[in-house]
Amino acid sequence: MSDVVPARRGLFAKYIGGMITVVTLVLVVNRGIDVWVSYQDTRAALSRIQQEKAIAAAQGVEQYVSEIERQIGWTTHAQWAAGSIDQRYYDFNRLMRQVPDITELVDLDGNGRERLKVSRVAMNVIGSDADWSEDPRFKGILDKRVWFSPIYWRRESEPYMTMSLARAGRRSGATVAEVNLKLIVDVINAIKVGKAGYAYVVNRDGRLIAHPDISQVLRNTDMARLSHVQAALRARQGSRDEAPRATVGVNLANQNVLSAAASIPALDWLVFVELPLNEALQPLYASLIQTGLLLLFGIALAAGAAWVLARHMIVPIRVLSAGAARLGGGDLTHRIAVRSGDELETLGSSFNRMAEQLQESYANLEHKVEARTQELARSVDELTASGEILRLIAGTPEDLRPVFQSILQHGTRLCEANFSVLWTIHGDVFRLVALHNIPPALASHLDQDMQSGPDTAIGPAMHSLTPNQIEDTRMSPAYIAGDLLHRAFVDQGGVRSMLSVPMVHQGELIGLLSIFRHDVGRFADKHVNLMSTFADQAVIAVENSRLLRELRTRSEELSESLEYQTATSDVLKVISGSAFNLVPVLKTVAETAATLCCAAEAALFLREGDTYRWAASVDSSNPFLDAVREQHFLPGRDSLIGRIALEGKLMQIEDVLDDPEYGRKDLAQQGGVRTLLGVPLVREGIMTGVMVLTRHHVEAFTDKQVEVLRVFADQAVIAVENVRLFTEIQEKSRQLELASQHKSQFLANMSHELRTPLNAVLGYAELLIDGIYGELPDRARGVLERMQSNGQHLLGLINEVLDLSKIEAGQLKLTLDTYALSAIVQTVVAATESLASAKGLKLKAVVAANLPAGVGDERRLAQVLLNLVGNAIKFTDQGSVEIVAVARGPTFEIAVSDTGPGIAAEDQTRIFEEFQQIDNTSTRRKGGTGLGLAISRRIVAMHGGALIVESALGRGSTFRVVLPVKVDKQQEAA
Amino acid sequence: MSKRILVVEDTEDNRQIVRDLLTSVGYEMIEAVDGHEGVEVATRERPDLILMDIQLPVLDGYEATRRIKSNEATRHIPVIAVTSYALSGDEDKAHAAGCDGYLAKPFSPRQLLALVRARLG
Repeated sequence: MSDVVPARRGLFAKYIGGMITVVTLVLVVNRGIDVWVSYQDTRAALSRIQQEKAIAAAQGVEQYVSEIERQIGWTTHAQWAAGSIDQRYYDFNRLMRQVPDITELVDLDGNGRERLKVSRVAMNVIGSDADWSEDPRFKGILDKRVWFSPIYWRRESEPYMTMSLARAGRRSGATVAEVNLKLIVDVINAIKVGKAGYAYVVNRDGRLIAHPDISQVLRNTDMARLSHVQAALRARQGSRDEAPRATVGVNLANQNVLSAAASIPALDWLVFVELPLNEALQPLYASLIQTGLLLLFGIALAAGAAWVLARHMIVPIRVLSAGAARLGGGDLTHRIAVRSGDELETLGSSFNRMAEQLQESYANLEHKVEARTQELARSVDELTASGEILRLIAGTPEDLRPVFQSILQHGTRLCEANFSVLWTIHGDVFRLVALHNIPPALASHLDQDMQSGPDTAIGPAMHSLTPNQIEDTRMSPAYIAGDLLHRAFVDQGGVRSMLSVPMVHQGELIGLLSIFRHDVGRFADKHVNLMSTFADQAVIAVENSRLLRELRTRSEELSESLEYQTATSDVLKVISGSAFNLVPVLKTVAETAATLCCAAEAALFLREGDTYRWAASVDSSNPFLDAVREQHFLPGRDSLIGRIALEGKLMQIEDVLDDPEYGRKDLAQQGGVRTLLGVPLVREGIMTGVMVLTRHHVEAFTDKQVEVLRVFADQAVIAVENVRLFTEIQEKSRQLELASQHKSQFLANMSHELRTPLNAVLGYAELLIDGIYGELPDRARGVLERMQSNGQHLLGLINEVLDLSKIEAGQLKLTLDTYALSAIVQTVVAATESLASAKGLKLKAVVAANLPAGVGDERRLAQVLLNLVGNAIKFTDQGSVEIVAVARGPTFEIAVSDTGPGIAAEDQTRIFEEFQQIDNTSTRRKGGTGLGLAISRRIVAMHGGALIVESALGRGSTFRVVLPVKVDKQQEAA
Repeated sequence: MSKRILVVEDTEDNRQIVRDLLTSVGYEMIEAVDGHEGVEVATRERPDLILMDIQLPVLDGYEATRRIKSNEATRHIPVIAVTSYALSGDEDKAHAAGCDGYLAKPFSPRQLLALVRARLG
């Protein structure tokens, strides 16, 4: 039983966790949406307010500028301009006193000439008549009433602006005022934005014009580096229609601010109003804190509620769990008490009912187990008995008595009988072979065989071949019929009931098993079955024993035949091992035959014409054997060999001393020879010899021995024949070799002899051509040249024949020395270039760099390569011939490829044979002896390499020479 | 005075060819038909160059050359060996015997002439 798996996380924790999760989720979602909406609202409202404030600030600044403009305005009236210069001087001074922002005032006439200049920072000038006509301050008012200059900076820190006002009337002059904008600060400071908000003004480049912190202005701060300022400047340049919005940015103090901008179009300035974000979002934070508190409260409430609920659920479940654990642990008397009145209580009751039912089932099971255990014990008993019997069968297969004894003993005991007997059938009668616990009074009746009549007590079992029982012997037909043996069993042995089981093997009755009781009654089925099993086992034992006996006989026969076979194969081994030496083979045959057929000696005689002479025999110092060794046997009745020679068949003399015709009785007596056997050796119906075996006592050879001896005789014949054939072949091959050597020598001599006069012919021809003997007519010269070329060809043929015959006669010796493969290739290319170009072929040579130095016969290798390249050129009509030489590890590989007609697969071996070309027509057409490849192949082979062709019709050919880089000794040319 | 060349050669035809060839270009040719005679003539006549066939009756070309080269009086005469078997190893043997040049048979008269000219100018 497995333990109750402990809960990984209790229900309690799950409840509380669940409740808290749900409440938190609801609150968070609810408040989240709330906060988000209110944030959006607040943002929008703030933005709007901020924007309005910016617009208001812009208006304030604009108003300030307008105020200055208005102050100066009255100097633009025409009548003022017409006044005296003193008057104007006075007025300017007054104006500057009234308006501290104005730093300098200039009066210009209609032509741009300076009439008066009053300044706080310079000398006042009257009537300087300086020309301002090209100054923007003058030009600016030509087409409009008021002109504002861009901001400029004095002393690099104070913002200034020039304001020109045109006088009424066309070209009637102007008043130019330099205005210090530092004083706008007051205007800016007056703008209140929240608690910590502020406003400032920048020009169109983002330069600060006014700021509550005047030092920033004096430092000429560039506000355009603040991203929101930059954005506002860009927006000003863009669409005017777009409603500017408040944005969040970072101010100079690195504070997050909510910023709004409004422009002053006339001056091209921007007024910014900024409020720290903290302050702006203050209401939003309050709302967030409220939400947090509400959340905490909600969670606490949920936890409380969950705790109460969970407790209510968990307690009965724990009771159920503990109860179920006890029931599971085997305590079925335990009952679960849950009084919750709900499904849990129903579950508790179900558990209780289940426990009751289990209790009942267990009680039933125990009864059944007890009954089964008893049966099992009996079965075990029976099996043990069976096992013991089988063990006995296996252990003593020959001796049946212990098996039968054990069967009776166990059968009697297990079937609750008193005694038992076992009969086996012998012809028509039954003989008792085992008994157990027989009452002494019966013993004298058991010596006799039992008849198996139908009226006997065992008759029914024997005839039906099935078990038969007699429940009350006194009432049985056999008893009533007066079967004597049965009456003895009943009357003297006290048998009142009996069971007979036949032992049947393959439908045949082979015995009978009977058990007896002293009381009347039926044998139970299980007893009948058990006895049937025992009867089967008895049959197995009998069969086993029979098979074993048979097996033993067979294996004895087999080992004998194996001995014969081994001997035969030994002889065959000797025959095949010494094919050229007859005597040891025949001696082995004789020795083996003698040993195997229990003969004293054995000897073999071979026929020579009409006589038979000793050839081999076993080692022996028998005078008989010594004598026959020297004799010639002729056909005749006086000797065994003579008789066999006459009749041609196997013969035996059982006792030589008793044979009237036998003529060597004294010799036989000396050697103690009595029985003689002779086996003819016959090949293709002709006798070639005789094998003779002797015995020193009179005992005929058995048929089996004769059979074996015939086999040996046949083997002797084979051996003789083998040796004869072998000798013949050896002689023939020796003659062949000699003939071949003679041929090669002849060829070598002949070619040399042919060359000498040919050289003379060629030499004379050349002298003639060279004009040594005087000038020749052209026709004669032509003929001579053809004579010379034919002679050269003939010389080539003779040289090749000479080479080949030298190779065949084993006279060609390689001169092994170091060589450079690249040099060989170069030589060959140089020699064949002209041939190739004459046929319009491309000749290419690719030699790998850094080839190792080779060791071999340079001249012969060059000859091979020359032959291959020459062939390639000869047989290729268009295209190219390519030589590729590379080294692969310890070998050189030289490939000669062409784009010629190719060689069919079936011709590829033929071309390497002597005097072979692809076909005779090509020989005639292309010339050559057809010896070149044969010679090349042999030369390569003598280097321990190989010459291979790869080709197909229409695909060109590649001849590949593969040879060791370093040849240390000349190989046989195959 | 024209240069004199001793040709040691047993075949009449070959002698004839060489004779015709050499005399046609102004050399003087003296002859010997076996190795023994070759040594004798060389000692007596002191030719400027010897063309020595190798397969010769009585004394073969190698031996004849050895004798010529062991004689103080004839040592300086260049000897060109002419072998009929163009077997590998012949050239080495020729050098070992003291030959100064080597020509394999069959040679063409042009080849021979080239070799002789290279020696005698």
